[in-house]
Amino acid sequence: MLLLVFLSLFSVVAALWFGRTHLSAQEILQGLLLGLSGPGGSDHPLKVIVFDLRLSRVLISFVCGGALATAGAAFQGLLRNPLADPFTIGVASGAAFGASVAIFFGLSGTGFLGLGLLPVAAFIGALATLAAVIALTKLGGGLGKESLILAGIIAATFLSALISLLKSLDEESVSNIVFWIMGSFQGRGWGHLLFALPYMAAGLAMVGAFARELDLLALGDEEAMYLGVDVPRARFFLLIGASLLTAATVAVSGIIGFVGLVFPHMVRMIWGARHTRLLFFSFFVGGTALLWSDVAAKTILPQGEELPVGVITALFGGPFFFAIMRIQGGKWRGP
Amino acid sequence: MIQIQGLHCGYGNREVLRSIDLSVDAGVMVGILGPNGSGKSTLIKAISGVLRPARGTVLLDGRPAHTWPARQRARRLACVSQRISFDFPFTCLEAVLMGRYAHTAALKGYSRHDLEKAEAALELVGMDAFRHRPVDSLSGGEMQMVAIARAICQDAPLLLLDEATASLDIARKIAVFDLFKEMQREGRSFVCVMHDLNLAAMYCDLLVVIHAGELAAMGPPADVMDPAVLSGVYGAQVLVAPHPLLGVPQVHFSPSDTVTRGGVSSCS
Repeated sequence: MLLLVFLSLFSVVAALWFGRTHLSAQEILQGLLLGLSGPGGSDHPLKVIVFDLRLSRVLISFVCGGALATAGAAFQGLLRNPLADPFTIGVASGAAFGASVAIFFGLSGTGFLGLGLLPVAAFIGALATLAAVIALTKLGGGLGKESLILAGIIAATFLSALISLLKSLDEESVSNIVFWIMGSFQGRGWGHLLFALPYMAAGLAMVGAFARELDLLALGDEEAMYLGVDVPRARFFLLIGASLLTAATVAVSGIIGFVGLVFPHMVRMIWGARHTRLLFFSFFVGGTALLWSDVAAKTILPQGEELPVGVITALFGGPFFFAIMRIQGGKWRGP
Repeated sequence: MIQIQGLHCGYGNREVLRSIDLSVDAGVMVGILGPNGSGKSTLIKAISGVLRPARGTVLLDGRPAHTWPARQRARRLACVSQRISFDFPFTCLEAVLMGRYAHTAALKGYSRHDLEKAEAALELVGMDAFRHRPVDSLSGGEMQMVAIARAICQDAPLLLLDEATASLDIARKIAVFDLFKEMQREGRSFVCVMHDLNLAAMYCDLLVVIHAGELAAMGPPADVMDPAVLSGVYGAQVLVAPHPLLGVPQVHFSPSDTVTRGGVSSCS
């Protein structure tokens, strides 16, 4: 466990090396110290590169990866489905729709609390979708897994139709919308991190507080009730917590696939199914993985152009998931 | 412990149980019998408080069962369902430990004491060799034993078993019921839905027969295991004869064309 935390810390520091400008270890250290010594005062180029640009981006990719993997683990338990991920119940589609609306109306450049309006719009879209999904499940008789998945599919389908509509109405915004949906950390900084962090912290706290209940819910709602879980309450908080994690992540990064699906699986295979461990380890494994994926996205093209990190995770995630399926063998063949 | 009065309940508009009266005292073993779809599992759900009565009352320790807070209710009754599934690879010990949830404080983990209880329960059902095996790698019967161990370490005075032993081999069935009998002597009560009439007659103090949602018969095995009652309820020819060693009534079924071949009647 300690090793994992240490590895994550090491990754955060090591990732500072990678970027368009080549810096020595000494220069990186100097930039870090300059950044830590005074808030925003210094305009020293080393400080700007290392602290303002690189460190913020490394940290944001780490917490986003952690949040996605944790949310994925929570959703898989909540929906009792190993194929669920943070996007299953449509929250991400809501974020994409919010972002698309902002792009469509040309508001993406508008300043708001020191960052563009885009993440705010995406976050509002995600939360509105969550509220709509919860309202829809009321019609289906509560927050059971079937009604949640169905309501999520309804929301996601409807919203993706609306996004397509926006795209077809304004061809100029198409590439911006598509690029945003693919997910990237390009140009994200401290403002984005500070915006997302409180919601992520709240989401982590909620999901973490109900980790043991998640174990019991994985047996089915009725079993969990027999064992003493207040099922509606636990499901509600877990849903809100995991959705907050997803919404905050998607708002700042766009839709980054596979992290929330693959890493909970990997952690479960290595460390077992208990959610106290699963959630904690998923956070660090997912965070570290996304951090390095982002480094790859920045450096993999020889000319120094960036790939959207969503492309990298999908590129590696697909085969990775295939390998997990091979290892797990026939377990998913159904009842 | 349990008082059921004039219970009507079901799912949505479909009424499954009608006018059920039943009371379960401390230290008894009650067997619920009846054909498929007669409402046995629904009765278990009503007692466990998962299902709210449409009419009538189900009192658990003097308070309507469905109004107990989940955690407090789980300290009063444990339940083993007829089919359990584990979708995630918990180890057997982790799965049994979940039975201790109701005894732990919110936000706190399981204590050493809880762990000891879980280990003891696994040992009690003879599954301690499996403690670190993932539950999803076990056979159906072994999984059922894990579920029974989980219910035991829940430490509730009342255990509800919904065909919990149906998938076990005969030796395990006997072992489990012997264990329950021992726990019964310590004051625990059991309500077991059963299809095995002979096992029910051997172990239960009170048999309740449900037919088409209504109480068809209730009483000690000697009264309920009556060819007329059972033939009426199950629609099959039955022969009742005393157990050669214990003397309790045992049922023998015969193919439906036996009547034409020679006739069937009570031998008791």
